[in-house]
Amino acid sequence: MFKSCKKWLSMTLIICLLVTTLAGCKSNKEKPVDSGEKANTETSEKKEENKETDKKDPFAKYQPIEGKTYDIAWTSGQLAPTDENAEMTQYWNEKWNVNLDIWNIDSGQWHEIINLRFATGEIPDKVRIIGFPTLKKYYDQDLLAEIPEDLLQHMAPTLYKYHTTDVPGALSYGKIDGKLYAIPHYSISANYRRPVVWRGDWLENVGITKTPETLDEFEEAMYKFVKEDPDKNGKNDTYGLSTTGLNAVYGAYGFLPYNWKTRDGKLVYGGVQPEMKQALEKLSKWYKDGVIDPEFITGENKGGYSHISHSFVTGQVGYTSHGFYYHWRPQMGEDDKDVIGHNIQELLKTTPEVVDSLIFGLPPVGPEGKRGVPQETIVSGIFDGLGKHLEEEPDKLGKLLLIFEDLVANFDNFITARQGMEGKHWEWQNNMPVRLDPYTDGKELSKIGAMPVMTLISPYDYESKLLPLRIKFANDNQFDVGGIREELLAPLESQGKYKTELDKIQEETYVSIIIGDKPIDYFDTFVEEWYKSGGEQLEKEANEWYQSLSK
Amino acid sequence: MSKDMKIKRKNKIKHSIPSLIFDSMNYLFMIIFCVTCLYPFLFLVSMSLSAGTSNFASLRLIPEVIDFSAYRRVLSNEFMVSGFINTVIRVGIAVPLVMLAIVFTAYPLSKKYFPHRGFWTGFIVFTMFFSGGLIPSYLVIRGLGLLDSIWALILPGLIPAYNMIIVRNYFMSLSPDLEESARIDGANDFTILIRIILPISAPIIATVSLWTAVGHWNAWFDSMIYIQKASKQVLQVVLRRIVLEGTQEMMDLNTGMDDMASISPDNIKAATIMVATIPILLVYPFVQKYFVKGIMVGSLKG
Amino acid sequence: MKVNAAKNLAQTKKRRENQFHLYWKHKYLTLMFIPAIIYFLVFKYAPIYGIQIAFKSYRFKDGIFGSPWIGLENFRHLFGVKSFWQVFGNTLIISMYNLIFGFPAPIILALLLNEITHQRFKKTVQTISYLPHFVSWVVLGGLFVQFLSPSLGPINAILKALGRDPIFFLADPKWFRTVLVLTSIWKGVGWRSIIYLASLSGINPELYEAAEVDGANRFKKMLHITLPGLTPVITIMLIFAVGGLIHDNFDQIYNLLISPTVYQVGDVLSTYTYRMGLVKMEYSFATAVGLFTNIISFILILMTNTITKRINEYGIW
Repeated sequence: MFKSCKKWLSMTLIICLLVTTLAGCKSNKEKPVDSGEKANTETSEKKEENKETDKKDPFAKYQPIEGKTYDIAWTSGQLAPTDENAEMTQYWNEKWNVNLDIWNIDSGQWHEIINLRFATGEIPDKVRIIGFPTLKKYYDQDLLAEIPEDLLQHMAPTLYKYHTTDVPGALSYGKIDGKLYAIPHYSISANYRRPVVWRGDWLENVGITKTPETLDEFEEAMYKFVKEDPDKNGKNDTYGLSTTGLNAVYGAYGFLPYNWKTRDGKLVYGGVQPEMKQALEKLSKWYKDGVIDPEFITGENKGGYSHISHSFVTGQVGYTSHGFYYHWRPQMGEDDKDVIGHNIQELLKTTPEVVDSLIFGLPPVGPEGKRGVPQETIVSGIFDGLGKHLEEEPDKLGKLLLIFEDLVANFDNFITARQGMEGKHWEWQNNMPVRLDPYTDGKELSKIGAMPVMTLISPYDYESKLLPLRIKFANDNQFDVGGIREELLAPLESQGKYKTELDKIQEETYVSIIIGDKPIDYFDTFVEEWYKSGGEQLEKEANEWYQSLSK
Repeated sequence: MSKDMKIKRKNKIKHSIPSLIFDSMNYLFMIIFCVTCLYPFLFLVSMSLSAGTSNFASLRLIPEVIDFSAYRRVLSNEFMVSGFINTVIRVGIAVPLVMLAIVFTAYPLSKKYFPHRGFWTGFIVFTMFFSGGLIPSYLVIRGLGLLDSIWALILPGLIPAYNMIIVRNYFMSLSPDLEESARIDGANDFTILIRIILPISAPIIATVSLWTAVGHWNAWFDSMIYIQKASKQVLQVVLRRIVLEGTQEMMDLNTGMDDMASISPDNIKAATIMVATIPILLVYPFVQKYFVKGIMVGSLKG
Repeated sequence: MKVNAAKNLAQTKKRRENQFHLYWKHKYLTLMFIPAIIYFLVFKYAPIYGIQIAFKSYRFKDGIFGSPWIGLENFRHLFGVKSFWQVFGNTLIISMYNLIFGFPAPIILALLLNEITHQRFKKTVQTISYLPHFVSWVVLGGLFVQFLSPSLGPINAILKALGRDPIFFLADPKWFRTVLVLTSIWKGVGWRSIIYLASLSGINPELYEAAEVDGANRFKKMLHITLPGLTPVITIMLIFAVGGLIHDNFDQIYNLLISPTVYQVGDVLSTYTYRMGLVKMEYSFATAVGLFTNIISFILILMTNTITKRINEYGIW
């Protein structure tokens, strides 16, 4: 037995050694597959010239070489893979004199696949970055080229102008140590908070004529939704609110449990603020009194499209904050060709009469005059950067910036990038751009190389022209009032170490206090533990970042 | 088994009361079990026929109206069609090749007289637990120039160790007498394997073929990594894309573009699942054919 | 028998010194086996140098060989996670339940199916029983949430009709593991019984006939003929099942673990590391986690293999 084991071992060892040396040889040859290899040889000559011109015009070396066809590897968002010779890709190829290589990466496994390709030396020229931590990671891994801010301003003035006027200061979220590495995306949708939706017919049935505005009125309505049979079916089968409804209560006390927010000039974590104890006290009382749907633990959405609140749509609760404003937008006139909100679509299938009765209110005001429901961050966490190798090819870097500029240079370019050719893929109807069948489906647009393959930032101006109705809906219903935003927009050094654990104890604490498994005073124990288990460190780092931002 | 014996057996069962109770309980249990197994399928079928009136949040089994439009849309989706063809080709190539490779590996290893048998088994089992991971595997595939080729989906999984061991064990449990008599007649190992061993191993070969077919039918991760051209993508990748659209798992990416995305309605999702699943379900009845009692009378060690 | 074995042992010992000529002697077998060696070398052993990533801090630009060594830092990170032992324990406990209840289930199903004399009914049941294997956990997860819901789910409707309090299965720590085990049995039992059904057809019918003549009843036949006939395959499946104890079913648990109230009993290694976001982003850490679980798995397999070989001479080696 032992003898055979030894032999076994030695043989394995020999083979392993053999294989590793073989593999070693091979990997020595491993070399980044540079998409612009052809360009390399040409540029070396040009570099010499550049040295002289540098002195006169600092941006001269960034001028693309006249008449040269650049190969550009491009990563971006996709709803479906882009065809090999996609129509819109061809269009841009001709327009810019480039060869676009659009990488098809399945969004379900985005990080895994993109990391694999980075890891094996394939780095695209235009790099889509998804998530604040990803930006930091790519930077740490030295994958991104610096985009000097003055260069961006010089080469892409329109983009720069929109970015700095739409969301002043937003570029700083793409900076690390003061240098710009990526252009942050932003959207007009981020100006609107989560919805506050009431069943108007229920309010009426329980005799409330004024949409609740304060927390006390809110509470009264919630209790009546449970006790006074708002759906008039004679059964005690309704609740006031479920998962997302809780946010309005937290917000009324000034914080949201999972957000960082400024307090007296410092960033603090909402979940451990003393105000949350008051909110939890109220919620646990509501839970005991049967106001909160016990299934709030598993969520309002029961499968399928995640922005649908099945609890609300099926008439279990009379109040929700689920989804975004556009998930609740009803048909606005006959010319309305924009997508109807998905929750409205669901209601239309089963109880269409409810649609007209919906009331979009404001988050209730708490005892100290505060209110709020979550709102998207000012920059979305999606960025566009450039591959590190472009630092060696300034002309190509310049070419890409010119492309960026062209994509937002005017509304025509913007809408072409977004939804294809006028007359073929979309057309104007009543001053609104309407997508033609089958391009109403974003996946079809993705296939031909339009949205969201070629989209960069969406200037407010353009977006209001593109989607006038939904923006009107949001403004009419005051979705721009009473949102609370996440204010920490960078990954923290120790986040990986502590965050999962902290989130876990917080989730457990909050739920068990609400459902009464733990007394309300357990909150203090939790706060103590939160700080001890790394929260203190996170708070320190968050504030270091916050200070660096104002510099 | 002769006919009267069968009759005799049946009669005997009929007469024993505990046996009767057992049988009825058994049948009852099987029926209930089958109902629960059918449920998710019927649910999906009903949803796929529902013209979009029911959704994943309902438990409804009977659609209000029967409407085939979802199927029409799914079948006219070019990715579904190309994915379907690619998957069929993949399974068609993989199953015979993998089975051949498994049998050729398992047979020598099932022979006690094959030199260093223990070592070679260990050599293979070791790879089930220790692998270099994604990056070096990707480099190997790229190095061999297999990216975007169907071979990238077949070669890396040519000899699944687990299945190979199962087949090897089956071979080992066969009685050596058959082989020896053939050897006396002058047959070599190839002939013995093909003429004698394989025919009496039909049930296990059929089972492992089924596993291989289903495994390749359902595989998506390898294709997602190694296949970059949309037209060469397999069915499951297309399926996942449609089914996961707009669900929690896709959330992180949809931020920012979700407002313009059109999410496939649940009936389309359900129809997609049905189209991608039913063909592979039809394989089992063919496999069952080989599960016949007494197929190899006396061939197993006693 | 024993004498024979001893003789064989002596012979093999003698032969071991000079086994290489046997490759020539069994040249057909060698010929068959050579492609397998090449395959495993190219596709499995060549990439194995990647294991070192577990001990390195992987940097995209430097590649596997160029990345700096960090020793056991990744493992220290893994073990240093506060919930690590809770999560690790949950993984093992759930797997143990799955082994104890889930492993015999397909065998029992196969035996019960074997007792059904009506052939068409039997085949239909077989075909239907393997259907759930083909429905993904994403779909099933949503269905179970509905099915087990305290307000709308049919199971709770029955409980309520019987005058009992509804149970929130997916949020109740007392029930969560039961739900996991039962749903996983239900989903896999038909599929996993196929291998046993296949093996059943290998049992010599003459044995049953002989037993009948001896007056054995059905239960006795099952116990003394059918089960022993399945022993080789059961042994192999058991060895693999024990080796899999450390692996949890991410797809299942991820789709059912939606309530924080059951984290304490249901959060497992894969879901926890998934929430850490590290598996997606950090090769080194992911490789370290994989290596850790695989080493345990390997040890478990070696142990079970040794034990089963002692008991009934079947094993992988």
